[in-house]
Amino acid sequence: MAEGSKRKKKRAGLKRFLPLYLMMVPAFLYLLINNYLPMSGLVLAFKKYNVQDGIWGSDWAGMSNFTFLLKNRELPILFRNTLGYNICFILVNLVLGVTLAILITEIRSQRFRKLAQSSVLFPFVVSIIIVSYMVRGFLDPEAGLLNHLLQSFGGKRISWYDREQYWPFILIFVNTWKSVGYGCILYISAIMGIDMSLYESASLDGAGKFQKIRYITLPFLKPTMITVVLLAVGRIFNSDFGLFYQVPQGSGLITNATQTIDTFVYKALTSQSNIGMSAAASFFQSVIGFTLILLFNTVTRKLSKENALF
Amino acid sequence: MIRSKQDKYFEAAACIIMTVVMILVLFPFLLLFMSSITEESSLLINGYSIFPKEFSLGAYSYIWQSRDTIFRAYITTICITAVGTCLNVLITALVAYPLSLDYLPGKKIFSFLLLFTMLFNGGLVPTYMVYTTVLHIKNTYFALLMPNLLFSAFNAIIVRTYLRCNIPQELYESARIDGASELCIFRKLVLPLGKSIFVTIGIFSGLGYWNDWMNGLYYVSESSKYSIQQLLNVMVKNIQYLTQYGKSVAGEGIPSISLRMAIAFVAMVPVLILYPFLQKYFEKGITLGAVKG
Amino acid sequence: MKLKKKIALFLTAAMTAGLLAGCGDTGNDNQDSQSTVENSGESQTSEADNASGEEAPAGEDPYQVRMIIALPAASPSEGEVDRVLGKLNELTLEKLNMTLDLQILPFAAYMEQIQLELSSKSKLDIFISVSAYGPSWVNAGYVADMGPLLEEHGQDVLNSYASPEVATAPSLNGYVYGVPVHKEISQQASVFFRTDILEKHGLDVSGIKTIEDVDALYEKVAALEPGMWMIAPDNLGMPELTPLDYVGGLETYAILDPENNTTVENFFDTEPFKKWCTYIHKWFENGWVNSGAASDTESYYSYIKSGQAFSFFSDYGHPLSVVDQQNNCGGVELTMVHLTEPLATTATSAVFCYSIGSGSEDPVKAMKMLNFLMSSTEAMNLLNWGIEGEDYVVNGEGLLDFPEGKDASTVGYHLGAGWILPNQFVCTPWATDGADIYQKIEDYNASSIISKTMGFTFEPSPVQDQISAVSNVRSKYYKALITGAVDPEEYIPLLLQEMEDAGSAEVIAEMQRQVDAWLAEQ
Repeated sequence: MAEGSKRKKKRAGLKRFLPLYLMMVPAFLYLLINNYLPMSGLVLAFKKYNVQDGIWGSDWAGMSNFTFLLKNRELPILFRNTLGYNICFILVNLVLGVTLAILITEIRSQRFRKLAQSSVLFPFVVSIIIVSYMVRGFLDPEAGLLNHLLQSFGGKRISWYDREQYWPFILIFVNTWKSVGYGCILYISAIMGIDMSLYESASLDGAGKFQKIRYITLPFLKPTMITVVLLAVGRIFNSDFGLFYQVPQGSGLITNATQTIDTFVYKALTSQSNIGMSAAASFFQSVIGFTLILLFNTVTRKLSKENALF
Repeated sequence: MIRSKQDKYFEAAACIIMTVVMILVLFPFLLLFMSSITEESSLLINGYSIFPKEFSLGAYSYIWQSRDTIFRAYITTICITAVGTCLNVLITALVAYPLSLDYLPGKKIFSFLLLFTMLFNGGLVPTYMVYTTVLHIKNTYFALLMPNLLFSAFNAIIVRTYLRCNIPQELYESARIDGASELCIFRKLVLPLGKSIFVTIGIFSGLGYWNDWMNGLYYVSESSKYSIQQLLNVMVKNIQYLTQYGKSVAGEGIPSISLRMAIAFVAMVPVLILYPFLQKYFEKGITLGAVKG
Repeated sequence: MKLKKKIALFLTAAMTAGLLAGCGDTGNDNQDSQSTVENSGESQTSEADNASGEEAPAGEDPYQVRMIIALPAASPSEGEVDRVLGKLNELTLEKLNMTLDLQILPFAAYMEQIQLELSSKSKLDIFISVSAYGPSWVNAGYVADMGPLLEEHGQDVLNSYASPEVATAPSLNGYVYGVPVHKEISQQASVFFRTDILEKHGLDVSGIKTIEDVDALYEKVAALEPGMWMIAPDNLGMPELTPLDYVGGLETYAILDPENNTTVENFFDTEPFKKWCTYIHKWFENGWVNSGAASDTESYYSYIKSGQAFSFFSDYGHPLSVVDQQNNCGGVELTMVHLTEPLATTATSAVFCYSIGSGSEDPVKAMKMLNFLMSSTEAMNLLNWGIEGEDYVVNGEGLLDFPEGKDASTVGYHLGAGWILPNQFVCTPWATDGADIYQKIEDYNASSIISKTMGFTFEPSPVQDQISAVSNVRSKYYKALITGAVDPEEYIPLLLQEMEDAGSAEVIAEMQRQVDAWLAEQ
C-alpha cells in the first residue's frame, strides 16, 4: 500500500510537472543542436577529415593535427593577439567607461545627460560591417580622410592597411568607440543608485570633488566593475570575429597585428582544406578557455564569494 | 544641495569633455552619410569629407534602380528578424518560467545544462559541420534563423532571475488551486507580468538578427537569400556585385563608393529610427545582464 | 493560448524531425560514399544501364543541376541570368529531363565560398575549380572521381579534347578531379594599354619588348597625363616576365627556364620576382599605382573602365585575349604587347577545370549535363552570348554580332568569357573575332614552348602541412610586394625567412624528388 501511494504520488508528480518539462523542450532541443552536438564535433581535431566519410567516418589522425599546430610559428602570435587585445579592451573599457559615467552623471541638465548617454551607447547597436566601411572612410590610402588631412598639412600619405605598427591602436580605438557605451550604462546606473546624502555630508566635512569620487563613487562602483571584468575575462580566449575579420579587411602585411584564433580558424576553414588544423585550434580555444574560466571562478570564490559567476 | 565652486567647474568641464566625446562618437556616422550623398568623382579626387564639394543623389537613385536586389535583401532581413525575435522570446520564456519555480525537480541539472553552454563550446568548425552535414541548412532561410541566434542560455538565465525575483510564487500556486493549467498560468500570469523583460530580450535578439552577417557568410552563398548585412559584406569583397554588367545608367559610371555608403546608411535607418524609442529597454537589458543569475 | 501551444508544438516537431532526418541522411550518405568508393565502377554501370534504358525519362521529376562558376569582373544581373537560363532549361528539359541552376560568383570571393561549399558536402553538381587545388581536394574528399563517369557518360567530353589523356590530365594517382576548360594551353606575359591614350598622344608601342621599355613609356605618359595611374595592379598574381613553370600550380615554387632546366626553386628567392617587385615599387613611389591596391577588393579592371588607370599586365597573350580583356574592362579598347614567348606547362594547360562535387546527389546526371554543355553549340551560345535576337544577332557570314545599336554594355546578357565556360570551341564565333578564331588558338598552342615537366602533377599529401603553413606566409606578404606597396629590399628577406621557418625547404625537396622520379619514368 505504501508502495502504491508512492507510485501514485510519483504519477501525480509527473502529471503535475510534465507540462513544465514540455515547455522546456524547445530550448533544450535547440541547445542540443546548437551547442551539444558541435561539442562532440571537437573529435574532428583528432581526425584526418575527409568529407566523403563524414566527421565520424574519417580516419583517426592521432595527435598529428596538434603537433603540426604547435610547430606552426603563427600559434604564439595568435595567442598573444587574442589575449593581448582582450586584456587591452578590458582595461581601456573599464577606465574610460568609469570616467565617462562619472562625467555624464555630473551633468545636471537632464536633456544633455540623456543625449550624451544615448550617443555613447549608439555605436554598440551598429553592425561591424558598417563600422568597417566607416574605418575605410578614414584610412583608405587614396580617398581616406586621414590621408587627405596629412597631405593638406604637407605630410606624406600612409598606406594604413600595410603598416603593422598602427593596427593595435586602430583596433583598440575602434573597439572602444563601439563598445565603451555598454559598460558606461552599467556604471551610470550604479552611480545613480548612490545615496546623495553621502556626498552632501562629505561636502560638509570639506571633501573636494576628487576626494568624493575617490572615496565614495569608486568604492560603490567596485562590485559592478568586478562583475563586468569577470564576464569579460570569461571570454578572454574568444575574440570578436567581426572586429578582426572586417575592420582590417584581410590585408596581408598586417596579419601579425590583426590575426586572432577566431580569424585563423575561419581562414583555415576556407583555404586549402586544412580542416584538421583549424579544428585543433578550435579545440585549444575551447579547452583552454574553459579551464581558464574554472580557474578564475575558483579564485574569485575564494576572494569574494558573491562575485563568483557560479 | 549646496554646490561648491569646484562642483560647478567640474560640471562645466564634464559638459565640455562630453561634447567632444559626442562629436568623436557621432562624426563617423556623419562621414558615412555625407559620403553617400557626394558625387562619385568628387569622392575619388577630394576623398571622403563631411563638406562635399559636389552633392549627388546618384547613389540613392541607383539603389532605387536595383531595388529588386536591395529590397529583397531588406525584406529577407525584416522577415528573419521578425520571426527569429518572436521565436527567441517564446523559447526563452517557455524555458525560463519552469526554471524560475523553486520546486521543479531536476532544476539544478537543467540550470547546469544551460550554464555549461556558456562556458564551453565546440567552436566554429564543428558547429559548421553539424549544421551543414547533419542538418543540411546550407542555402536555406533556416541558415539565417537558426545558428547561434535563436536562443541563448544567457538570456534564459536573465529572464529566469527576473521572474523569480519579480513574480511571487504564491501567485502561481493560487492560480493552480483555481484549476489553471501550466500553459494558462504561462499565458495569463508569466507573459503579462514579465512583459518588460520579454520586450528587453526581444530587442537584443532583434538587434542580433538585424546586424547578423556571420550566418550568411558561413551558410548562404545564393545571392537570392542574402540578408542586407551580407549584401554589404559581399560588396566589401566585390563592389561590382551591384554594379551589374550592362546596367550602367545612360553612359554614367556607377557610383561605387558612395553606393556602398548609401546602402550602409539604408541598412542603418531602422536602427536609427527605433533607437530613441527602445533605448530605455535596451539600457535596462544591459543592466540586467550584469546581474548574475 | 491554442496558437501559442500550436507554435510550440510545431517548433518542437520541426526540430525533432529535422534532427532525425538529418541523422538518417548522414547514415545514407556514408553508405553511399562507401559503396562508391568500394565499387564505383560497378554501381555506376548498373545505374547507367537503367538510365540508358529510358532515354529522357519523362515520368521522373526533372533533376536540377547546380552549377557554380566565377567571373573576374561584373556579371549580368540575376534577372538576366534567369532569362537566359529559362531558355536553356527548355533545351535541357527536352534533351535530358534536367534543369540547370547557374550561379556566378565574383573571383575575389570565389575560393572562400567554394571551399565552404565543398567542406560541407553541400549539393554542388558542377563547378569550376582551380587545378592547383585539385590534389588537396581529392585528399579531403571534396570532389568526385570523374574517371568512370567520363567513360560511361562523358564520351562527348572526351572527344572534345585532342586525346583522352588531355581530358583526364587533372588527376591524382588516377583519380580524375576535373576536365580542363577548353582554352589556350600556354601563357605569355603581356601588357595591355588603353588605346585611347596611346592614340591621343600618338605613342607607338610596337618597339616594346621588355619591362624596361614599359618603364620608359610610363615615364612619358605620366608626364602627359598627370594624376593618372600608369598601372592598375592585379593583387592576385604577377606577370611571368621570364619563362617559368610553377610546379604544383601554387605560384610559390618554380622551375626557371623550364625548356632546359628541371631544378625546383623557391620562386620568391629568384631574380625575376625581385625584378618585378623593384619595378612596381618604384612605380608605386612615383604615385603611378593605386596605393590601396594591396588591400583592394575591387577588380583592377574597373580602374581601366573608369579611366583612372592606363595599363595592366596579364599572363594571357593568346589571340582572343584582347577581346576577353576588353570584355572584362567593360568594352574599353586595349592594345596588347607581348613581353615573352608563349609557354605551356602543366599549370598553364589546365588553370581551370570543371569538376563534380562529392556532394552531388546524382553524379551521373551531373556528368550527363556537363557532357551536354560541352558538346552543344546551342547551349554554349546561350551561356556565352545570351539569347538570339535579344542579346545577339547572326550576321550574313553566319557569325554573331550585337543587335543594331547595342553594344556589350547595353545588351542584357553577354558574358564573352569563353575561357571559363565549359567549351568555347563549339560556340559560334563572334564577328569581331573572325570565323577562324578557334583555328588561330590551336595554331597558337602549337607554337608554344613546352616545359620539360609538362604533364607532371604534384602529389601534395606528404608535405600538406608545410604547404599550408607556407601558403599562410605567402598570403601575408604577397599582395603588398606585387603591388609595390612595400620595399622589396626590406620585405623579401623577411618573407624568405618566414617561409624557411614554415618548412619551404621540405616542400621543395619533396617536389624535386617527385619531379626527378617522374622524369626518370618518361
